Amino acid sequence: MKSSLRAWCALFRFLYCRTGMLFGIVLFTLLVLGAMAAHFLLGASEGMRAFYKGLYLVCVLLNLIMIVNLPTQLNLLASRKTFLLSGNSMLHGLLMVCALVLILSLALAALVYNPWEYGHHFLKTTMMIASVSLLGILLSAVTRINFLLFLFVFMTVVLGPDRVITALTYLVENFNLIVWAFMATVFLAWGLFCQRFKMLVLRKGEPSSQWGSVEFRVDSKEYLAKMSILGFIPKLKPDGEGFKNYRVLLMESSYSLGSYVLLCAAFIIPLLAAQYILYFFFDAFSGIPLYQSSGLLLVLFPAVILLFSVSNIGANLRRLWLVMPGNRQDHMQYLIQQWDSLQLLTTLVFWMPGAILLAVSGLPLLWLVAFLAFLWCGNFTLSYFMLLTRLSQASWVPVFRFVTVALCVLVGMYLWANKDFVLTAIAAAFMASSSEFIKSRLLRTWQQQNYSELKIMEMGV
Amino acid sequence: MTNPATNPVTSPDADQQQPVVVIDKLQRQLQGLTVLNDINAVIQPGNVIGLLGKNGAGKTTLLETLLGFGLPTFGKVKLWGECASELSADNKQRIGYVPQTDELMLMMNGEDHLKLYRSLRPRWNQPLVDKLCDEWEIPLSRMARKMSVGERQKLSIVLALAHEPDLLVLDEPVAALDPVARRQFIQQLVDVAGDDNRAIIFSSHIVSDMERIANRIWLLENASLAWQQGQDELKETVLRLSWRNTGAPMPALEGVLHEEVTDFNTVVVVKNATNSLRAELEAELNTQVQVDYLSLEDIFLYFSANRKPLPLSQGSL
Repeated sequence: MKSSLRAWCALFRFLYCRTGMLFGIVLFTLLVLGAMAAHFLLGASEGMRAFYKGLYLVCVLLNLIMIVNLPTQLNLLASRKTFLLSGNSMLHGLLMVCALVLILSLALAALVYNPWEYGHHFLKTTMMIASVSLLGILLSAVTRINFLLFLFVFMTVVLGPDRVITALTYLVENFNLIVWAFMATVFLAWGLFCQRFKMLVLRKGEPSSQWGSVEFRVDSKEYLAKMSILGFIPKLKPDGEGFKNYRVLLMESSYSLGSYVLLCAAFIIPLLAAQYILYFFFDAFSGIPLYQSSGLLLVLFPAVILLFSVSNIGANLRRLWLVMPGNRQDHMQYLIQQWDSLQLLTTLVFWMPGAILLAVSGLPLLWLVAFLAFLWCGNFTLSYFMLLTRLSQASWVPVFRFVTVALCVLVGMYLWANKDFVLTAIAAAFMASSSEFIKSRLLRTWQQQNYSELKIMEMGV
Repeated sequence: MTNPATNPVTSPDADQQQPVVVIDKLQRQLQGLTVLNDINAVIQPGNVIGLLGKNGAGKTTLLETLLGFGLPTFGKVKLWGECASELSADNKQRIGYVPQTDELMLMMNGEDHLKLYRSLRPRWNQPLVDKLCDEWEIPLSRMARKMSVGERQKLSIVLALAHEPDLLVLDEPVAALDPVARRQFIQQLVDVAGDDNRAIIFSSHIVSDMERIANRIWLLENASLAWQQGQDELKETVLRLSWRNTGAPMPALEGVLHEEVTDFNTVVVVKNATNSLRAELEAELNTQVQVDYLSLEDIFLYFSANRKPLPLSQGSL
């Protein structure tokens, strides 16, 4: 009994501490994939579904423990120079939260509806759960009480899993989920905004006020070493000056999280509105599966946000010059490294579920891979290009940038409409080579850059 | 007479000490305009240099070029023997910089700024930081975006002084400070300047402050350094000469900055004046010549071609 309790405590501690964060993401991604595969391979086998229900419930509970402690987790990640800070810190925080919630929601929704049989309801349920979870996390962050955990445990124990599912189903049928999701995201943003200053534990080697014990610091080192091998954390030059602080200087922009929320709203609302109009007023579009539109939203929306963050980060390089070791090239390489890691994180948390939704919607698999490669390389190309144009002060640059972005969008739409694998693969290869070309141009331009023209960015894009 | 602008005077112990900054034939062009042209100068440890120039004269460009923010179109700038755009980490740590517009992080409060910079600096004078923050009443718990311009400027100055830099570069540091804070800052700068191993270069439009602390003056005019000498030498060699007209022809004078001839009097302001100039003039004009020393502000105005007649308020020979 004692050893069992100790084992549970160890498991709880493992999940509660920072090392569980990434593990949780990977675990749940695998579980979602497994669930979908199980549905696909085994159909509606009652025994298998019951098994997965039980497995999900345990894992969801454990993951929920991590999620409701997200402010602490973020604090820890920030203070231990893990990948959280290898990009814009606010954006990272938002991405992490959304990713965890999304994965959890997908896992929970799969309990309620088989995605293959009731795809529409599955997605609605996912959004519903995501919005409620985000709201709960917000309240948890603000009140510092893990009420969501207690609420969930209470509901599960008192009502039983079936009634919880029934309650969720009822909510799905009676709520405007999209409005809920937006409201919750805005609240969450505000919650993180309040929390973000606590993420800056700046003194190198200084124990965190919450996890300052020696074990955790050792644990942190091991974790970092493991993750470096996996490539999740960019390898940093051991300079002894604490690169995390350069990252703080680099990433600390004049944006508030509200700016990102506004950006989100600015992009996602027109997209949703367009989707709504196309679906309900034009018969020609009514045949587009909901999976496809939702998958595209998951892929395109964070990519657009990232494009804006890259120029913002670039402008802050001026701050680094006199405090960070290295020459101009080193600093630009560092910036690119930071942005690449942010892109990797976005891919993990948004593109993967988006790709799954697109894959299950019946699109040609080979073409889809090429199309995603096109988008992936296009995102890099445009980000380097935006950074390049950000550095240049010439008046033609904004026009050129607009034309380039418009061309990329048009090509993307054309490829989407035709679904020609060869053409898409060529476009992806072209984008990949463009990315490398613009990157080299960027490095050359940066070498001659006049930092005096790089003013620290104020609010706005 | 030699031109001091092209022959920077070095301190007596220059042979022993490595120059902090060496500017060699610096030229910078921005958007087709020559902002800095053929600038040669040396900053030695112990120099406190006041950089004077009109708006748009290129002061900020010069200071930023010194620090490697911009690359010379022609020529070289070296700090402790290293190219300014390729500074090593150690030499970067020897620089303190207060930009014209503060570059604080708007979403961080003062305490976080201090923590952040302390963690980036191997050397950190916490008692000095505490003293300055206390005296200047910097609201450390307030986010930078909620601070006034003056408070942000004070914080920027503290961040630049805290690691006791060997080279302090200040680009109009007192522009946003109230008189009390300005006086305290000047006093602090005097203390810093007391260390002979340090060099300070600062630009300001408040010439009276510069007059109090600078031991050398750089006058930036028409993209070039019109003057780079000790402040005392500057005041001793830029003179206003006036005499009653006697009908004698106007003598040929070198380095005339200002000339005003009326029916009765002639007033001339010259640079690079020698000790014997007065005697030579009196002999040539056969009349008494009055010599006035000028304040730094008056000298700056004359150098800046703002040649309005100035009141004879200075002491005369």
